[in-house]
Amino acid sequence: MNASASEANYALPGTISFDEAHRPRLMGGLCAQCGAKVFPKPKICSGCWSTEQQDLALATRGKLYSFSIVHAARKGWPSPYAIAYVDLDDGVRICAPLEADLAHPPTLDITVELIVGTLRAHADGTPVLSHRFKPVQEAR
Amino acid sequence: MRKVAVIGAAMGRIGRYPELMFQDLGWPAIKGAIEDAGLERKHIEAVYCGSAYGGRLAGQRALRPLGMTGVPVVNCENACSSGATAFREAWYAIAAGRYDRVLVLGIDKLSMLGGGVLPGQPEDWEVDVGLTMPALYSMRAKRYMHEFGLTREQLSKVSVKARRHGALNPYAQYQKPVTLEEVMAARLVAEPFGLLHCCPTGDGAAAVVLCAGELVAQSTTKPVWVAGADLTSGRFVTGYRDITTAEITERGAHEIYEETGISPQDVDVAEVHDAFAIAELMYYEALGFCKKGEAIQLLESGATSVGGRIPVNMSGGLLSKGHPVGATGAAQIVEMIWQLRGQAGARQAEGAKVGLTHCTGGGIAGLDHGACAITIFKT
Repeated sequence: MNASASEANYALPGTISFDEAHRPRLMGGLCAQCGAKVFPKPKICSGCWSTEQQDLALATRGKLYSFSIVHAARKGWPSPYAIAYVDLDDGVRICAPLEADLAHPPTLDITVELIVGTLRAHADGTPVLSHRFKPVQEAR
Repeated sequence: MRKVAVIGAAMGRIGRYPELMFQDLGWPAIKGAIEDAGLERKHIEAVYCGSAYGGRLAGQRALRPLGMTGVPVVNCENACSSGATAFREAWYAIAAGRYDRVLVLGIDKLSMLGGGVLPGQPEDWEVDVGLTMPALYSMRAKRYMHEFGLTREQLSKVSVKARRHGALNPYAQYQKPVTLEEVMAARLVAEPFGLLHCCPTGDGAAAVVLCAGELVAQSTTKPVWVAGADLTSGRFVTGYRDITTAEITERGAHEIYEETGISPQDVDVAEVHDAFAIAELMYYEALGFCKKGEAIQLLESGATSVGGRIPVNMSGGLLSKGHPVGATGAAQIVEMIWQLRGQAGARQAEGAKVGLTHCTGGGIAGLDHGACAITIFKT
């Protein structure tokens, strides 16, 4: 599978990369002038107007700030699904699907980690992938 | 700046009218407002029209059946605040001396979009991974419940109050009261919200006529004065943001209280943007009607109900009166004009002299909301 074909199946193209161990990274922008970290990577820094924006692999863990279990979804979206705000350890807030047991929903402020999974499918059945977060299984 | 008053107001009952053409939804409100003002169409020097989903030339299309085009028509889109934005621009144009008499129309026909959740903002990276407006507000509710101990049962009381007020309003989409049990048991939309924690989508149009202070004496109605009209937009934040605080509303409220010299304690009656049950509680706090975290106590005390110290959403609010997005700001203003004239019938806030309308919305990533318009009126 070539890169452009796989990119086409991401909800937000260009935001996911994989490290050497094939672990997913969520890609944001780092402003070369003021150091602002932003997701997704902007063309211009909203703070200092620098157009020099570098690729930045964002923190893969964060805190679950809030979430909702969506039952009334838009057409073409399988429901129910959970959508969340996650505050990453590097300070960036991400809106992301939450992979969790919806019958026993997690509490807020727990640690969650990045995974990649299927968001929904195109009309022809092609899956659309995106970043997602799931609760970290703490070692006992 | 010149003084400006509202001298005419009219709206139709909000509801779902898929069989009605957009223009036929609009012109009765326009005609009604002009007749209410005791004017003729020739007196209207300009028209400001707010619509979010009406498409191009919404104002001209609604004016055409009345033969009222030929004057400047300004079409304003600002999501839920479209109608209130149009009002603010019209007020300012008169205050600045550009016109003497101006009509404001708010109009939207959401039945054109089919049913269910409103379409999301294109190119929005939060919408693209599954965020919907009910989900956004329900995340606010969930965090608020987590931080302040609000229960789902308490949250449901907002909807019960809204429907109790709406049952007194012949212009409301829903005119049937609901019980706490019905709110709690309604089918889930976005947890913790069930259907009755969410405003319906609907069709509606509302119009008012604004007039320069010098010419108000010629009017046949009791003028309601515009003390101030504030408009602002959300600030872009890429990191942590406290979503239990309505930042844009808090800032807008601060601006208008400072501009008018009116304080939250002076407000006798208010219409606030209760698109979802949690929103009404957050806006009590952001508008300064109570302290942070104490909104449910204010509601449970009866202060914001009919007969209370500061009745809120006597119209039924968006939850019961309905929310034809771009029309909502104008519909709130029409209700407030009736309240301050003492013409609100069974839902009248007795002796109200100062009224506040608040309209905010538009979900775009990184902003609390896209737009917020707050207007204060006095007799």
